Order: sequence, then structure tokens, then C-alpha cells
Amino acid sequence: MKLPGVILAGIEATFNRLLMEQPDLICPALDGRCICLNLTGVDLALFFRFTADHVILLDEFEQCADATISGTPLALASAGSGNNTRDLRFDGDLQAARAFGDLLQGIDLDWEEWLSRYTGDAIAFHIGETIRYCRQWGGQAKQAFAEDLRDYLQTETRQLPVRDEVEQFVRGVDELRADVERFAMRVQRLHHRIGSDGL
Amino acid sequence: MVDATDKKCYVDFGYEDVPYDEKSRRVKQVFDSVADRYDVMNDIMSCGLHRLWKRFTVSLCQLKPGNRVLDLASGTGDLAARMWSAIGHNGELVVADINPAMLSNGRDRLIDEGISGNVRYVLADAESLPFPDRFFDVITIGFGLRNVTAKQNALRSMYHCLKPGGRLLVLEFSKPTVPGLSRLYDLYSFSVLPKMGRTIAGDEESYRYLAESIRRHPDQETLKCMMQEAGFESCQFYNLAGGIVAVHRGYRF
Ligand SMILES: C[S@@+](CC[C@H](N)C(=O)[O-])C[C@H]1O[C@@H](n2cnc3c(N)ncnc32)[C@H](O)[C@@H]1O
Repeated sequence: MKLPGVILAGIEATFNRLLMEQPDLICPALDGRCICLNLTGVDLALFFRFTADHVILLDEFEQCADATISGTPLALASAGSGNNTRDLRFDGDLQAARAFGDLLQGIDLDWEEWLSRYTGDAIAFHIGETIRYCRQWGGQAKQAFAEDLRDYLQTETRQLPVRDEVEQFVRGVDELRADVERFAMRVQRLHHRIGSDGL
Repeated sequence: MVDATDKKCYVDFGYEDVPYDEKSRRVKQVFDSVADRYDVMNDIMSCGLHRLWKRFTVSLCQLKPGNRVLDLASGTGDLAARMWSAIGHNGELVVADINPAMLSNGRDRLIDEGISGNVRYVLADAESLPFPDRFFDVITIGFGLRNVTAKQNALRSMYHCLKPGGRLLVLEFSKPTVPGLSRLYDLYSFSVLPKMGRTIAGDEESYRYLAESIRRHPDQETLKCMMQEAGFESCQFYNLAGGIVAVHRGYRF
């Protein structure tokens, strides 16, 4: 997949504006380097080529990138918001990749702001909402997934009992255990009586 | 239509093939004839979109205060004016065109807008630029490359004038990439456009040339390859209006 040129240029412009405000984010490890961001699943590769003071965003790079970071969009988003980087894969020059990761975490992209310059405020707001929703969704997804899986196993495939059934079952087991214990006591008492009567 | 490769010293002029030496004279005639009403026609022809395309092009320049920039084939100076505000008073703007009528139109317009001081005007042919090696931070050429006779020479000449880290931006008509758009666009440019040219600029022939020269201009990938051949790196193009227009950017490192 390739991003439309206008979007590509928009991301680039946003990065460069933020880099102009915080020039120290481009460290020597990045100057002159090209980092490939590879979004698996959507099959999208973006190349960030760094100069001393700005970044050039390309959808194709004639040479080999110095470092490649691959992962699903969700894994990247989660790494970008400061969570774990376990689901990402790093290849090539690790120092450059790390510097790039630091840069991504150092700048907070305001999606709405840069989209609004190309789409108008109203549309940008909707897209921003969507992105925010997606982020929230990312967070809620785990929980929702757990719930969905439980529903599926319990009511769809009936592999697992629902909570009420389990509780009923557990109560039944408890009662049975109590009955068995009572019964055992009775047997014991009968034993004693037989013993003492000398039968 | 004659195949230009059959006659090596012949080059395209729209759908005509003319001797190499004649093309620049004929192009000059076209722009002499449209110079005065060029801006109005631009707005009408592109429904005002050319302003957005130019703004987009300048946004890709990564201009910084103090940069030295060249707007080549500047015509009425649209790109030049936009760049000037980004380079500040310490920057330097050079405006160049091969056509004295267009250049003087451009100068009048820029001065009227209060753009002066750090601006120079140069009558120059893009194929052999009269500037030192490694001189500019940015070169732009908007709707100009199409009219240049030997494009590869021109690209090479621009490459030499750029500093390392400098970039060239080419804004030019290209090949529509959206299905169905091509035919609509053909209809517009071969039937509607020349008639509009006749009514508004009083010159049907020049606008016919415009439409034809657009078709003979290299498409996105071809131009990208030509830039790479001239030495440019990290070349990237951006389609606008479904590929009717494209901006190419290349760096000299
Ligand atoms: C269509 S106008 C472009 C004007 C302006 N850049 C714009 O975007 O509105 C093309 C200009 O290219 C100039 N031109 C044509 N051949 C040229 C060449 N070989 N070198 C420099 N300029 C040239 C013409 O004189 C004309 O002013």
C-alpha cells in the first residue's frame, strides 16, 4: 500500500515543524540515516531520511535503510504511547533505531491539527475523533476481546458453562460434600453404637 | 504525428515536431502572446486550484530563513512570491525566466506586492544556468519544465547549482492516475481549453499548444527516473488532483 502524496507530505511537514521547535530531537545517531518504518498487516513502508535539521519522508528508498522497525499498527501505537516495545521487531543499526524510537516518543503528533490543513476543520475533527476512538479502542480491545471470547465459549460453543451454571454446580458440589460428610458422621455413629452394644 | 526519435535534431512542440533551434523561439511566441492575461487564464483554467498546488509545492521546500532560492521559469512569479515570505530578509530570492516579457511582468507584480530588496531578476535558459556550482538551497520550476527543449540538460544544470542538501521542486502537469479521469481531462483540454483561450486570451493556438505539450510531457515515473539520472537522490513525487498535476522533489546530497 502507498499513502497518498498529500498525506505523506502532511506527516513530513508536521514532523519538520515539531523538529524545528525541538531541534535536539535529531541526534547525531540519526543525521544522514534512513529509518524504515514497516507496518505489517497493512503492508505499508515509510522511509524517514534524516538530514542535520529536517526529515524527508519517502514511500520508496533507492538504497537499503540503515534500520528497520516492523510491527502492526497497534503494536506501534502502543510503543508510541510509551508502553512496551515487545511486539516490535528491530533490524539493522540498533542505535539509530533506538534514537528514532526516542524521537517518536519525544514528539506528540497532533493528528487533527495537521489533517485540518488539508481537509478543513470539520473533517479533521471527525478523523481526529476516529483516531482517538481507535486509540481508546486499542486500550479497550483487550478487555472486550476477553469478554467476547468468554461469550463465545460459553453460549456459542457451550464449551464452558456460564457463571450461573458454574455457581449452581459449585453449590451442588458443596451440598454434596456436606451431605457426604453428614453421612460419614452417621455411619461413624452407627459404628460406635454397634461397638458399644457388643453386637 | 511524427516520431521524434526518427529525426534526432527534431523536438516536440506540442504535437508538432520542430527543429531543435526552433522550439525555444516558438515557446517564446506562445508566452509573448499570453503574458498579459496569463494569471487570469491560470485561475480560470484550473478553477483556482493552481494556487493550492503552488502552496503545496512551497510547503515541500523546507525553507528556512536565510535560504538562497531560485524560481526558474518564474513567469508571473507566483512561486517566487510565496517563497520570499519564508526566507525572510536575510534570504535571497532569484527569479529567472527565458522570456523578457514574462520576466518583466513578474517583476512588476512582485514589486507591486512589496517584494523587493533581496530579489534579483535574471534572464536565463534553464538548460544552461548562469550560476555557480553549489549556490542554491532550493530551486523550484513551476509549469516550466514542459516548455524546456532539452529537459535532461536542464535537470543536470539545476543539480549543479544546488548546494549539498539542496532540493529541486518540479510542479508540472502529469498523467491522471484516477480511472476515468483521463477521458474527461482529454475532453476538457482539447475541446474546452482552446476555446476558452480564444475567448479570454484571444489566442486559441497557444492554449492548444498548452494541451498538447502536457500530453508529451513525461509521466510521473519517467520524470522521477530523469531526475535520478541527473544525479538527484531521495526523489519522491506527489500526485495532486488525481495526477493531473504532480510535484517531484529530489535532493542533491
Ligand atoms: C507556464 S509559465 C509558468 C509560470 C509560473 N512558474 C507559474 O507557475 O505560474 C512557463 C514559463 O516558462 C518559461 N520558459 C520556457 N522555456 C524556458 C527555458 N528554457 N528556461 C527558462 N524559462 C523558460 C516561459 O517563458 C514561461 O514564463
